[in-house]
Amino acid sequence: MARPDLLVELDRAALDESEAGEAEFDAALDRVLAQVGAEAAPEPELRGVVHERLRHSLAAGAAGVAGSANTLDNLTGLAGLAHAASGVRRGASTGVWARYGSKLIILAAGVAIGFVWGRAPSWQDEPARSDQTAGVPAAAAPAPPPAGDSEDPLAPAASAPPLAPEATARMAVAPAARRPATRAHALPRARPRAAQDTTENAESLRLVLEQLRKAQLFSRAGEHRRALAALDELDARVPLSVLQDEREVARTLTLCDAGHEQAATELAARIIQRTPDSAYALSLRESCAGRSELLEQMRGRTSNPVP
Amino acid sequence: MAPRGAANLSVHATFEELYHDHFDFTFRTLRHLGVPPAALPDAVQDVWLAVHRQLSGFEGRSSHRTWLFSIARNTARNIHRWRRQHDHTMPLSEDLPDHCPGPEQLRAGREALLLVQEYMATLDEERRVLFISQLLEHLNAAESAQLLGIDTASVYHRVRDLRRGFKRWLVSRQGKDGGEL
Repeated sequence: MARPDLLVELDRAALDESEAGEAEFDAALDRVLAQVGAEAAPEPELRGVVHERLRHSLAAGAAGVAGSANTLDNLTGLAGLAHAASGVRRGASTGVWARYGSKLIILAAGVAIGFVWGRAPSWQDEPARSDQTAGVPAAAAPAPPPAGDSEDPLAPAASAPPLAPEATARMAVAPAARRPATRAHALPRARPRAAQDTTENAESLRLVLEQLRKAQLFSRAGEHRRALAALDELDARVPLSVLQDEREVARTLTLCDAGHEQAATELAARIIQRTPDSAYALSLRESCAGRSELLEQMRGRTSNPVP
Repeated sequence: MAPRGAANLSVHATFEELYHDHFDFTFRTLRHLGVPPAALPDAVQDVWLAVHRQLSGFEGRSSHRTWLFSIARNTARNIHRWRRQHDHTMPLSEDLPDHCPGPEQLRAGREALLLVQEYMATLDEERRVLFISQLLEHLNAAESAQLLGIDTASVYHRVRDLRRGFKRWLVSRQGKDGGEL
């Protein structure tokens, strides 16, 4: 196979050790690098695709709407389109985990952050320090904007995690997150035992969020067995009462992805029976569990509108 | 490729303005930093989510491109870290070539990209950032200096070293392949 001319020129110039050869090599290298730049450019349509995804993600995150059908999971930054790119089709269940996974973690994180204000660890480094290039101090953390009062989804709005301090400060307050406020306010006067309880609860919440993220990533990467293992590990380490809804919904979606429809259906039914007004009702109905007659029968008992 | 000094936006540039002017730049930067092609759409989306989160706090102490490059760099780091932690044994860049003849339809640009990525894989992270920022994305010396926390004079010296290093690497590679690259 004939080698492209510009690389042949580069090879030749590399072998010339004369002073003129140095200049020739630099020129040849610059031509090669210009080609690299053009080759590395994105496909033209990707700009619009990503823009749309951003709009929907930010709109869903700001509104806290349960089960936005267009919400695309991007917070963990991996493998979203890789499924499509890899040509593997895993059916609607994977799409549901991809669509609702981030919302699930957002709401779970909202509870965690409301519970122990401002102390939400992240397994994913927050790019917030990006302004900390040399001589460039970190950007000041912006004040939390009011959630959901902007019509433009790309207007500054409460954005979604990763769970780093800055993102924490701007986290959209999911309804569940408002519940623990009194507990957080009690912290300064807490007796040692209460303070210890809070620390232990914070650690539990951290573990839950960490394992939920892992399960999400594994599931999106098609590694369903590892996703379930992450949830099993979580159950072994943290009582199920901690963010039970989120954990069981995550397990339901993962079971769907893994092809365990029966188990997913049974678990989904238990969730809905326990919490008919669950914020995840739509997620569950759009999963493989939603195809069951049981969930169909229960559809009419819930107060969540089904679009 | 975005021209040097594109869109002399004020420090108060809107998200849309930045997105319009620098989307390709962030995509290319992620690619050069070794983000696998399949992960690029999500990665670039992550970058722009971060931009959206942080834009109101941007104070103009660096250029927009420097700032965006930093965000992309952090995003790429996170991806690589996650892949290492989860036993993803694929090379950090799935574009890494082997030394066997490739398909005939490879274009010159594709081969050039593969060659340069192969060279960049031999560099440590700091030199790779310098290579990308200076030689591929044409940030000015002050911008690269800010990225790396070095002075401008060092940028010039190190870029020259990178060029000479690339030349030596090519020669060495030619020797291994019996005269063919």
